[in-house]
Amino acid sequence: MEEITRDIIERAAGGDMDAFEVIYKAASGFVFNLALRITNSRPDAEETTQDIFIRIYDNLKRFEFRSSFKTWIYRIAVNTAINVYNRNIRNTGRRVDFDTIIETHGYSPEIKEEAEKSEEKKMLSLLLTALTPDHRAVIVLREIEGLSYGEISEALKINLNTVRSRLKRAREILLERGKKAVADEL
Amino acid sequence: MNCKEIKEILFTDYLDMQLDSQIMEQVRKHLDGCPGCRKLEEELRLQAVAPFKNAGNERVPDSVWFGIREQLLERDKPQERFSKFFLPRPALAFATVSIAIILVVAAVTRYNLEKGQMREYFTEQLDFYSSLNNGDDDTGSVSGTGSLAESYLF
Repeated sequence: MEEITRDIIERAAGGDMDAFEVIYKAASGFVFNLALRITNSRPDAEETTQDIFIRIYDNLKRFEFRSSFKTWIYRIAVNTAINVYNRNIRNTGRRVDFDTIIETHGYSPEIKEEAEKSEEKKMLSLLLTALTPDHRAVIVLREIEGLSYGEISEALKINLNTVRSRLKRAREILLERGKKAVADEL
Repeated sequence: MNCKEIKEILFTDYLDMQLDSQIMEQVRKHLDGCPGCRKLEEELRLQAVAPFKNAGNERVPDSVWFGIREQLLERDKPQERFSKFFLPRPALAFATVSIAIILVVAAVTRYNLEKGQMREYFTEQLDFYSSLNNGDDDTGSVSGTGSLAESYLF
């Protein structure tokens, strides 16, 4: 994310839409992709990104410049994305998990073809369904955003050991799913 | 370090290069001499790390910013020009209901009043006609004339 100056943040907090657009342009890429990985749905990610930026706009006046602006945005983004994901699950029960897909279709040629066709994207999406939103958040912040354990801890307001234990659990699940997919393929 | 300790470290700090150089060296030495732990490390990199490395970033659709901007502008827009001529909705609803109640009460009151006046009129008329039938002379000039005419004719 490009550096956002204090002046831009203060102007945006005062209702300057052009200044807020500067913040949007700098942050929307990682916010959208974070939302996409956590909700695992493009329409939900678009809706979530809108919600996240409305919340950022509404809370800009409360940002005290004590922590990094990016970390502050990560916190809002992850919390909002997890809330949207949980709300949609409650409302529609639309979660389809990895096991259901494999049990329904097997590791069928269609799934295999789909995974190969859209390459890693589809496979990643499939793997993410095996993780809870909390595990997704940690793994995405680490693997895609490249945050350090300390930055993840600050962004999610959890201690370092919780970061470690969530990462470990997420990777155990991914490893197990990956092995299962390979075994089914054979 | 034994295999159990190595496995614990492999899942997190080793994969994420969070170890200091001395411990990292110890882990590497262990992996060189332990096929089981080396296999785990390879599987982890393949199944839990590699899928994210090539994930790439999706482009944000332009409609997202338009949606945000529209919502914020709509929300922060000053009240409509017409708002000074029209009351806000709750007040308007309250005023409408109040006026309706007043009209209904007025209509009922008027109806009752008119009904009372009619009843009084008919009562008076009935009294008058019944006095004619009785031939009562004390009912005033009109009934008196009627009685004289009756006496003359019949």
